[in-house]
Amino acid sequence: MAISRAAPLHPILVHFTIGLVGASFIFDFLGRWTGSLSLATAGWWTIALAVPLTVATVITGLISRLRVPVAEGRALRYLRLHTALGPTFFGCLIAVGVWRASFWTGETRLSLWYLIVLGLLVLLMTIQGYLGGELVYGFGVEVESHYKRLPLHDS
Amino acid sequence: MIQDQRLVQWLTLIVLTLAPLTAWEAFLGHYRSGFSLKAQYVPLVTAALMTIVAAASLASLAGSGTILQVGGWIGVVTGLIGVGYHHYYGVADKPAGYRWLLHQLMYHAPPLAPLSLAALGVLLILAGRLTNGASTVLGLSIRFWVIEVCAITILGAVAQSALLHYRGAYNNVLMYIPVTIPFFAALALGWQGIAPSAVASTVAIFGSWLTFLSGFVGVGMHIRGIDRQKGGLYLGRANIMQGPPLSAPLVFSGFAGAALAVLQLR
Repeated sequence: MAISRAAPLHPILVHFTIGLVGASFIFDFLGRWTGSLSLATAGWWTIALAVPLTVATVITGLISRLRVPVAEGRALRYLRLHTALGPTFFGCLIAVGVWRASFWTGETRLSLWYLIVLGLLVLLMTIQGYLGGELVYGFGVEVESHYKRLPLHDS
Repeated sequence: MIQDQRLVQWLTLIVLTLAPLTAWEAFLGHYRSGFSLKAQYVPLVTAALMTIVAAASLASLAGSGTILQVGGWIGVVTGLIGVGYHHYYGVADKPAGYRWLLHQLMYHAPPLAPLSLAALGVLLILAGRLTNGASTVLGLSIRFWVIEVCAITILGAVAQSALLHYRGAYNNVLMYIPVTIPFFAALALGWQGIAPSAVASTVAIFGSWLTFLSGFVGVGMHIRGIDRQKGGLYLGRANIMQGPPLSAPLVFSGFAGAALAVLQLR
């Protein structure tokens, strides 16, 4: 069975956004707790990378959305919410990234408020990720037609 | 001086981002009306020119002051002429003309939209003046002018969105966001520009950040609005012209961002 190279890019790229933002939160949390400069540096670079990468995530998301003819129902409600939350999350990510840059360039210690806001952003990302996961793995959006039957042993 | 250079970079980056989006919205609106006038191509050319000028300045700041100002003035002139065109062909020339003013303003050429090009032009002019070493225009600091231009542009965008959301009957509670948060943020910006103080600065920064975020929420909701047209995004190419303007809310984000660059780069 041939493997399709025309994989939808959005479900691939979201993992970079999720990984980088989540890692930034963990690095910054541990960096503030332990006072480790290297963890704080990692916290900055992960969020700094997340911002440009998420541009691609949002664009591929919109392209994917245009390709999906979903009828009215629960899947479309999920999809509309997911699509509306995407740019909102991106705007919040830019704001948090700029805020994080001010600590980086000013060489000041991270504030607790920053960590709380970044935590809220991770929460928003989790909701967004849940909706996206339901769409792909629950409803088969963009993957159903490419699904290959899993060969099983006869029981 | 270093802070001025960084301010110029932020301003040109904002123009570099918003000018293509303005061109996109102009293209959609003018394509919908069939490009019946040759003048309808002008904002596309102007926006392309402004994008190139902003990109060139970002790539090489030194010596770009004059070209930034030239690009800016072209944007200002195009925007002002565009307002005249939108007013004449969108209101005066339509059946019933001024007697159906509200109808014309809601359903024909958006009356204030061309001014976004003019406002971007002003930002380029101010960035060019800063690049050339000036710190004042007409006796007032360039930072003051940037804040006031942002405040006025945000107020214009509030008026335009109030009109179009009224047409949409404010059917979603989030449609009140662009007529509330940016409105108060613009007032705070105007206040901070005229009478700077710690309180006004804090209120203006907080309001500008909320306005910045509201633009992105707006893009998400406008995608949803396009999707709720008959056929939704499956008939995307048709509905993107019939539904709410996709990138228009980013005007709020862009001009709030420009104001924040002034307020937070000290």
